[in-house]
Amino acid sequence: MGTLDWIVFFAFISYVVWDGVRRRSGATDLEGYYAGGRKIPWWAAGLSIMATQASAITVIGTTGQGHERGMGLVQSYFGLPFAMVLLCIFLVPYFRSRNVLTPYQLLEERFGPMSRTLASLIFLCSRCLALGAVIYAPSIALSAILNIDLVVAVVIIGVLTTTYTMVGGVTAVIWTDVKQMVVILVGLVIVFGMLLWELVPQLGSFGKVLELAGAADKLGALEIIPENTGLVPRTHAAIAAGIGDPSFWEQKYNVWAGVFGGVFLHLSYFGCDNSQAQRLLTSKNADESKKSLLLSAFAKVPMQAFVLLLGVLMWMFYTVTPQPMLFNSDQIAVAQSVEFEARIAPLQVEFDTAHAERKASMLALAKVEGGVTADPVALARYQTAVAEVDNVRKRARVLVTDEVKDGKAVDSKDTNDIFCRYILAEMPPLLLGLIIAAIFAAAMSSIDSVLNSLSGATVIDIYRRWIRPDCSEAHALRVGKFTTLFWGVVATFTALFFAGGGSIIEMINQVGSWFYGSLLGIFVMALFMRRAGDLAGALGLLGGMGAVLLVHNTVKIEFLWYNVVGLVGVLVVGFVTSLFVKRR
Amino acid sequence: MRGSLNEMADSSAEGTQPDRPPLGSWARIYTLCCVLAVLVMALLYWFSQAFNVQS
Repeated sequence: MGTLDWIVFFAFISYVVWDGVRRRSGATDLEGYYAGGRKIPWWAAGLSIMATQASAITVIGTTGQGHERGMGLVQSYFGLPFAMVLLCIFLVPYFRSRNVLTPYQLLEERFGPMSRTLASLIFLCSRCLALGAVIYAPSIALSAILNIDLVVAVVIIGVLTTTYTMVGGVTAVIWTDVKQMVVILVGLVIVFGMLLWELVPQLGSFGKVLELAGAADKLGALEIIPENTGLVPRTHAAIAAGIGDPSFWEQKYNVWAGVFGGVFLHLSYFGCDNSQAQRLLTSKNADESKKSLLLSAFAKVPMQAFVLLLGVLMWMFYTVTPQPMLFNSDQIAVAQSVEFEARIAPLQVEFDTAHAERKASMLALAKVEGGVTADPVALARYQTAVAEVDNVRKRARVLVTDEVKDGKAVDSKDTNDIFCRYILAEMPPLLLGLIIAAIFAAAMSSIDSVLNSLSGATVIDIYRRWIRPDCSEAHALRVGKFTTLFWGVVATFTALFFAGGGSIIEMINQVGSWFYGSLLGIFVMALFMRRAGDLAGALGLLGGMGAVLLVHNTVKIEFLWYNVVGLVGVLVVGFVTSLFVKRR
Repeated sequence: MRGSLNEMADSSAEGTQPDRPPLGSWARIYTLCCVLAVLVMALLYWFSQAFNVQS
């Protein structure tokens, strides 16, 4: 990074922190601190909802996914618009029927204290785990850019974000989110422009770029016919014994999992997770809250497709220009060590040959008249070369990881390092600083949302409910600021455990899916199961999580479906309990 | 159910008047949202069919 980049970077980060801190004047009571005084305009709340979900993970993890696997991930967002409509119809009016500060307060009124407290604790546990990953993602970028230890990077991000969130409350969170959303969109458009600037002159046109990416199977954005059609899930024992075929439920990305599994994931995330549901409580009335939700409903899927396309274009870029065999800086360091140097050298030669062949076959295919399928021989040559590069890269990763688990060599993927490596190597001065600033602003504005919502649930649902019900507003506010600090520290430490690799975007969704179905289930019970009382609600919640645990340990299904399992578990256990225990 | 929920929300303690919904009614907005979601999926399906070649 040059001086100009540092100036842009520090200027923007300082502005975000200052902008957050200066909002402290609105955080003089609990309603100001956790609900922005119910004065936040719908568009600001809507952008904040998008920014909280987007964050640095969208930039780093999703582009990495696009690079490695193409556009299939977009399907997991197909359920989002439908989920938003359902939330607007059922949950928003319910949430806005009372002046609550967390949605879990409504559960006490409907069921009783057990259900409310349990739901709040589930939220606290799930979000705390996911928050670690949210801090970890931008820390990768910081450690790569500044060449500092990952632990130091985690601490810097954690401290900066916790500081202004603690002072400014949800108003600071929302207004910094608005700015970061604008900056991140500008950043993404700049990267898109840069990639096209490189690719179009070499390949002829944007259409040709897409054709060649598609020929490498990178543009499969929608899969209607699933790879596996069997509806009976395989048990882990059967998989270990090599018996049976993969079932429909094992496929991660297809349109059915995206629409039906995704609708439950997004219903739970936007409606029952306080880090998002809290935004619905900050606007002046239910109609404003609905508008803020619908902003995401209209924009999220196209935006996600755009970010994945960026990853695909990045893959195209690395096909026409030299590509590193390894993207992860730790893996590169291992590969360069004395112990591994001699073992990696033949792979490097193999990779260089495969990469050269991939480029040559792509350029040959680009010259074929009548589209890429007009010359099956050239197409097959290109696809073979693409597979060979992937194969060598995988072998290199396995080699430097040098770890065996369950009898298999571990492949520590570098999905999350690709975007950082690209911008560091390719972005011109000034723009690099802006992109890095965008990643950081995105990260901070996601972390702050979660910190404020964790603090809200702790103070409103636990402290003021059970520990000091008679405490003054000023005392509760002080405790709120302290708990923001507490959760900031906890989250920072949790992030240190995420340094194991893998795809962050999937990790976040997986952690959420363990709990979200149960949270959705209790709100569905609140709305539609009139006979259920507090015991039914609490047992239902435990039943939902137990169902997810049982399914996770017995059969293999993808994480999107855990939400459905949790929801069904809550409803079944809650209903059965309500047959025996009458509502008071 | 929906009616009673909306009434609850409208009569919330904040006492603010609901705004006029965009396009005249929420039902229209919801329909538009779902139709657009299906159109985006159709567009992505066309995009996959037009450009992607499975290896």
